[in-house]
Parts: sequence; C-alpha cells; structure tokens
Amino acid sequence: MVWYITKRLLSAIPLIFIISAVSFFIIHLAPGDPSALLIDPKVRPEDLARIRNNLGLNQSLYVQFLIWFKNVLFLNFGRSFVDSRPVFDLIMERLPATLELMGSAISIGFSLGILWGVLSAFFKGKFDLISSIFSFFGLSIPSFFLALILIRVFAVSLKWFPVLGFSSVGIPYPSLQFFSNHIMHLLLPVFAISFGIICSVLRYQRNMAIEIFHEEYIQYAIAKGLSKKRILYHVFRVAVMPLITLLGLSLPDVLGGAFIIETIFAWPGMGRLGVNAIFSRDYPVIMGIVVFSSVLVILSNLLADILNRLFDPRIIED
Amino acid sequence: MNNFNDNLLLRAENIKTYFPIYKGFFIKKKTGYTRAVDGVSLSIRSGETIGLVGESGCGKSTFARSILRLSPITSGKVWFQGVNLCDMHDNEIRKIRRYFQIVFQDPYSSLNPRMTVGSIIAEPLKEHSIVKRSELQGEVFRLLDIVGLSSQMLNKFPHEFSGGQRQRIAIARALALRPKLLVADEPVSALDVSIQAQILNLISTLQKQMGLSLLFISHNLAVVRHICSKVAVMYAGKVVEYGKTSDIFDHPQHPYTRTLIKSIPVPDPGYKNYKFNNVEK
Repeated sequence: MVWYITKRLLSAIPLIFIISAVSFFIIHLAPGDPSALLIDPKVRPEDLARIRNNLGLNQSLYVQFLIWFKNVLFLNFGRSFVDSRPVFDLIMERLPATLELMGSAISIGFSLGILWGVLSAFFKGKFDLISSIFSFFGLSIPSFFLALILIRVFAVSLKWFPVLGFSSVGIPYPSLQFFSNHIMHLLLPVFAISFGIICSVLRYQRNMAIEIFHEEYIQYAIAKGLSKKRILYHVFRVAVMPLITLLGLSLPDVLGGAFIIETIFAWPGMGRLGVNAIFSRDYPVIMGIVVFSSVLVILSNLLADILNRLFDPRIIED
Repeated sequence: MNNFNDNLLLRAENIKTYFPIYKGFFIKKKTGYTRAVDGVSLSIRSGETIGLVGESGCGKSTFARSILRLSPITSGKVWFQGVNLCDMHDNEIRKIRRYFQIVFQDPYSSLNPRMTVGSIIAEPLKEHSIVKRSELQGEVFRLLDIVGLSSQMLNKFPHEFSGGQRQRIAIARALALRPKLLVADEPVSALDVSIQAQILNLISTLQKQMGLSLLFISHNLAVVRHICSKVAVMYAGKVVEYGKTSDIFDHPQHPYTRTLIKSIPVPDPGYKNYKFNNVEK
C-alpha cells in the first residue's frame, strides 16, 4: 500500500508539469501584458523596459516557464505582480476558506444525496417520481443562477441571510457570536454548490440502489427475514462503493464552481483570488492557483482510489 | 382450513402471479398481464422432495418466489403449517421466514460482495437469535463443516471462492436458520458439470439428515429423477402433470411431459440413435 501511494505521488509530478505547462502557455497567448496594466500609460520606454526586465518578462516564454517550474519544485511560487507578496502566502491565506466551503458543500451534498437516493429507490411510487422531477430540475439549473436567485429571495427580500462576505464587520473574532454569524454567511453559498451535487448523487444513487434491490443477495436478505432497516443497510453498504470514485471525480467540478460562487458571494477564497488575478493579469498568482487546484484534484483522486482499495475487497492489491 | 394433517407442511392453492404490462410514454397504461403463474396448486409434506420442472420462463422460479412471498401474489393462498402466509403482515412474515429458506440459481449474485463468509452465515443466526452470542462462532464453524468448507475460510470474501464453493456457502446460510422447507431454485445450473454432482449429493444428503422438505426447481430432468420422489411439470404458468417420479418418467400422460423426457440428453450414442428412431416413427 505504501509503495502504491508513493508510486501514485511520484507519477503526479509529470502530470502537474504538463498541466502547468499547458496553462502557462495558454495564459501567455492571451493578448496584453501585465506591465501595460500596472503602469501609468505615460511611462518612459526605458522605465518600461526596466520593469519588464525586473519581472522577467523580457525572456523567452520557454525560459520563463522552466525557471518558474524549477522554483515551484522548491515551493517557491514567485511574487504577485500586483502587491509583491509571495504567491504561496496569498494562497495559503485563502485556501482554508475555500476548503471550508467546498468541504461542507460536498459532505452535505453527498450525504443528503445518498440518503435520498436509497430512500427514493426503496419507497418508489410518488415519492420517487417527485424526487426524479426535483433532481432533473436541480441538475438543469446552473449554480450561478441559483446563487443569484438565492441572494434575491433569501438575502434581499426575506433578509434571512446576509448577502455576501465571510462574516459581518466589527464582530470580535474568537466568540460564539462570530461563529454563528459566520455560519449564516456560509449557508447560502454552500446550498448553491451542494444543490447540484445532491441532485446528481440522488439520481446516481437511486439507479444504483434499484439495481442492487434486484440482486439476489438482497432478495435473500428479505428471504431470511431481516428487518427493513437491515435490508436498507445491506443495500447501502454496496451502493456507497461507486460513490467514492464519484466523490473523487466531482471535486474538479466543485472547484470550478467555487470560482463563480465565491465571486458572487464575495467569499474570500482561492476562487475569488484567481478571478481577480485573471483580471489583473497577475501571472504568478494564476499559475499558483492552477498548480494548487491540480494538486487538490490529484490528491482527491488518489484518496478515492485508496478508499476504494480499503473498502472494496474485490480490488486486489498488486 | 385448519384440518391440516400433521404431515402436510405447505400447501399452495391456486396461486396466480400476474405482472402488469405498461405501455405509453408519459401516461402509462396497463395494457395487459404476463401470466407468469396461472393457478398452480401444490402440497409439500414433511421430509418430501418435490421436483418442479419445465422449460425456461414457464414460471417455476416465480412460483417458488411467490409461495415464499418474495414476489407479490395476484391471488391464491399459501398455507404453511396451518397459517395463511398471504394474510400476514410484514413483521409477522419476517419471523416465520426462518422456516422456509431458498438457495438461488446464481451463486455469483446471491452473496453480498461486501460481507465476509463468516458474517454472511452469522447474520441470519443473529437476526433470529437461533443461538446464543457466545455460541455463534461455533455454530458458524459447524455449518461450514456440514457443507464441506474449512473454518479457515471464515474471513474471506465471496469473490475469493469458486462457483461450487459459493453455492456451498449459500446452502450453509440457508441451513443456518434450521428451516423446515428448503427451496432450491436451479441450484446447480450455473455450475460446472463436475461440481453439479457434488452439490446435488450435498443437498440430498443434508435433506435426509435434517429431515427437510425440499422443493427442487430444475429444467434438468435427469437431476430431478435422481433426487426427487414426486415431480410437477410446469408449462406456461400451469402444472400440466403431477405425480410420483417413477410414474412421470415411465408413463408420462401429457404430451408436453413426453417431449420433455425425450429431450433428455443420453450419454450413450447407441441408445440415442434408438431413441431418435423411435421419435421419428
């Protein structure tokens, strides 16, 4: 198992190299230059040349990339063009907020989706029909639109939740009041992200569970006189397996969605940092976020594979 | 209906199991029924082995599932030791289920892939509190031993076993509840021929030892002839002939039974020619 994990981690390095190379060149293909945005348009040409030289922008693209990647291997992501702070610090500052948002959205989305899916397969009939319609509706609604509607209805009209931000201004940090205030801020964006997850997991899990209900070992579970609860548990244990893979695969989606949701709700996470960096052509920050996101996705996939191996006895260790 | 004599274990009266056929895209309409089982009656006495034969899709398995209340019955009554199973609530039926167990056809799909052999066999014991918690381990060992598996296999998962071994596990699991009736739904048709004989001998030895009643479902007449004392022949949801095994095989009355018996493959080529010549005449 240790060897397997090491192997997977080592193979992640070339993967990250390719991902960052592709994104690096694509970003630089975009017209414009950070120096043009940074500096007063009336600057003297020799000053501009000096600044470009300082930022390393006068070298060829390949050299720029290789220097950057060499630094990344030593966890040096460079400094932001905008405020000259180390990119690593900037991201580390924002990462917890993003992980909090994503983590709660994924855990709520998956647990509700799984439960609902199994129940929907178990009870069938009207309940199943309503769940199906609901999940189609939920799958077809884009998260940014849902977010806007949620803000309009629950924050602006009903005033149940705050409109945006991480917490209200002027509340002392380590206090119960801060905590509850923060939770109130968290609820709407988490709901906006998890709604789609609930619906897709619900559909997937329902079909899975219906299939499993027809399996002979569930028929046998009925035949040996188990209670409904035990039978549900049997179904549950088998049905959860493929979802571990789905969990690993859904992270990129959630991460991509977080960019938009964080911007809409002004959530101080990595996504908003990235969107701002793109607008200001802050190459080192953009690239830092690309690398961090890909590492997150690779790690979550690895975690899903490890969990699969631990839980599913049929996958034989090589 | 309580004038059951002591010997009679189960009586199915005029069982009908229909499956509705739906048509239409948005608005589904019932357009008819598949009559999977259409008025079958059958009595099983204690210690008796009854064979249920017929071609694929004639309703054998559905009938078995119906009398065990695994499939919904459209009409008819099932008397088990004097009580009607069809009137029972879910909770009552749950408790009585331990007296009739089933071994399914496909040992690859009848064992939960996420449970070890030990827990597969122990679960029914725990659920019905057949043995004390302290004796659970010993009872599981005993059952494994009965079906000819070693106790070292306790912590293995179903995928580590061959088809024959899996079927042995399924039998051990069914016998764990000490049932009075065992329904074997084509228990060997998914297995290799060499393994089939082993499993059949196991079932028939255990049946004699434990005094079980056995409802043996098969499309293989040679097997049925080998282990059953009575045979019911099903065709298109109905029992067309019922009687002692020797009567059925030696003096078949119904034309379908005759065709069925003629279709038994014979290992001896000389005899086969003889049989075919007779058929043509």
